[in-house]
Amino acid sequence: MLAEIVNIQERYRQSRDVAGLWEHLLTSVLRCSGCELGFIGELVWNDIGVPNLETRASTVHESLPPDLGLIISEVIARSDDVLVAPGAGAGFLGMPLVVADRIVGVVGLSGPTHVISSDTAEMLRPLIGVVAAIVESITNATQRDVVTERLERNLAFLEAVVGNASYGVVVVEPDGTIELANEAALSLLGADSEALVGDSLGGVMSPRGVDWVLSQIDEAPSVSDPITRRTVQMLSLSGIPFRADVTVGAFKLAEDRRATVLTFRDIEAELLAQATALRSADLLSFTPDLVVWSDATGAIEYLNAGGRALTGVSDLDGVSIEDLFAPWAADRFGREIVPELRANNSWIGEMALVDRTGTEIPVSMTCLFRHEGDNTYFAVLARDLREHQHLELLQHAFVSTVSHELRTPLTGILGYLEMFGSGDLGEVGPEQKLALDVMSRSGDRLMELVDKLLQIASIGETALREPESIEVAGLLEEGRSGWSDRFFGTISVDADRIGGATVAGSTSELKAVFSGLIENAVKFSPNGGDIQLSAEVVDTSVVVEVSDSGIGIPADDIDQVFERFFRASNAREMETQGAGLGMAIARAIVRKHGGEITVTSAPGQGTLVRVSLPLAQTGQTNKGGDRDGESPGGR
Amino acid sequence: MARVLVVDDDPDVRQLVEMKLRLDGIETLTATNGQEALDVLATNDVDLVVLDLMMPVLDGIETCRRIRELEDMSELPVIMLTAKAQASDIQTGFSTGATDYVVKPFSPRELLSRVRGTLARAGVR
Repeated sequence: MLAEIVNIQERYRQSRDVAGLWEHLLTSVLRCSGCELGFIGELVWNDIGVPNLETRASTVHESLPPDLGLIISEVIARSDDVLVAPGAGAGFLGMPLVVADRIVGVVGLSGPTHVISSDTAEMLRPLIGVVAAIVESITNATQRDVVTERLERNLAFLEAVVGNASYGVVVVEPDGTIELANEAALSLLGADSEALVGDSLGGVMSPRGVDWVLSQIDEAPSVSDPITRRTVQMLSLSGIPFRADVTVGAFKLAEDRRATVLTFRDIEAELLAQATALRSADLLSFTPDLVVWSDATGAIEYLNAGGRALTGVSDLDGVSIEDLFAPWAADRFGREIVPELRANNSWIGEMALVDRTGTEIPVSMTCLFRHEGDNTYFAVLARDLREHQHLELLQHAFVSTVSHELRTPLTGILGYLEMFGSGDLGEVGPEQKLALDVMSRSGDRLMELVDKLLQIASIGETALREPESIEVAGLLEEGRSGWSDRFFGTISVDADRIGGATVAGSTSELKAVFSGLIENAVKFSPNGGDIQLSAEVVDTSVVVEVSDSGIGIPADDIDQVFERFFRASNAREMETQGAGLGMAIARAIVRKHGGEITVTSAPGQGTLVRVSLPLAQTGQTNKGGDRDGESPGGR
Repeated sequence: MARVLVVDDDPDVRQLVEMKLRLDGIETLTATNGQEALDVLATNDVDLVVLDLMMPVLDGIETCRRIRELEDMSELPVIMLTAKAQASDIQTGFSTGATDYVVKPFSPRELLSRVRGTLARAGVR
């Protein structure tokens, strides 16, 4: 190919038959391209016989030197990317400078224009040199001006192409100074144009890389073939190194003008971006949740497989986000949610989708609205709540059934035991009485266990829909008075520092927490001592400390006190009664109220339990709800 | 002699209540669900009803509501026996017209004293 072109070039340089030369060039290109292509439209022959497709020229950038056009077309030609030309291809000298796999913005052409693959670009490279030679060869000043003007006409367009390229393009002078850089280069190198242009290439590339690039300039032939390519270590201006795939093509534009066009891309970042895009797509297609996004008008651009399965929508043509919702929900979306999205960018709540049969699907939904320049979209993530609601119902039914089914037989056992013990059913001897007492106590323990299990089961179940305002000092005092006559040590309350501070939540549940903590302190202080309840306000929380001087908790056990059915080793040895559920219940309740509970202890010295609950005044009420992985327990 | 209607679908519980009350000299009638209880009330003079909440056919809440709608029954003492110990359940019981309630498992002695107390307030010995 190259040999043929050089032949043509020689032949026509001698004959000065410029028009014939162009025709030959075009024909050669077309023939060599291996593509089915052709110029459709009108070939316009101008006064110097230069064939051109009638195009509407982009703005002429007078300030750009003509050779820049060569450089830029060189960049295009060696790019692996597929580029798109407005007014495709009818560029300088009628030569298709631009490679396209689709046509956008064709102006001034009737009908479709030609399409050239990147293989063709490969073929075209040698022509660049020919072009340079042709410009040199034109002796007629008028003709040269016309040719130059044609060249300039393409500059704006070419500049736009380079400017929009995804790979970095820089032009380097023989001394290593960077003369030009496109947007992608600035972005990859983390620079603004003032910082990069005029700097040395050594600032952004390893010394070995720079040597290699500059050696290409030294050896530059008059045409820019061959192009060399290497993986080179580069460095952003902020000091982050990256591996770049670099191509270098050197020019000798004239005896005294040489330069290198260098294109580069960040290999790792591109691989990462590809992998990320791929994996994100995989995740989106595997989740059973609905993921959808739309343009600013609500027209759906993407609906994942989960969303299609849920709603039965398969053809997205003309479907808007609102069509996915049940009628009342669609109304709410437009009237309430969209305005809020435009104001706050996100919305979270419960909504209802609708499937093809018109059945409503309750969902928890997260909406996002993004508005940044051209990047405007709505995104919606929705999770089917039917299963969840079903489980909630089952749990409620379970709690209710267990409650009934366990209590009823216990009624028979405990009731008759009491009647036996009290002599209703005839006199009982002292030994029988002893046995009956043990049976009664065991029955009572069983009952307590049932109660606590039900309590645990119901904590997650009842959300704090109408939180009460609870005065903490009152809770503590109530707890103290409930236990003081059952303890032969002292129980004191110090709540002066919190005054009338309140928390929001369930009175009965929080009462159970503090009563349970005092019960523990009493139970594990077999020799009496002091139990102190003290409260203070820390930031936006009320912090209550319940401390005792009892047997404490062994260090090995302290991590497990919140586990269900956990009982510390020394508690088991003491033969105190307990199911190991108290602390589990306490933590579940405290967390449900948005608080936290911690335990510190030293065996033989006592235990301190610290409960913090958010103050009601902060407007924070119930944020916790039922948490997964809850593992409450006891001592 | 005071006469008490014991309504519970569980025969063991029914028998326990009956035995405790009879030992104290109270005459008892029994029913195994709410509908039976209404039938008994239609043909017998009863001073007090001990009413279980969870029963087949007609549950305790609905039974209590219907008793209150009957002529001359608006003041009939009803003590609810419930295995539901939650505050909301107890509230429901009172709002439908229960005089008192006892949570299962109950102490027979406590039930008896509540029955006796309620009867005394109603003027029955």
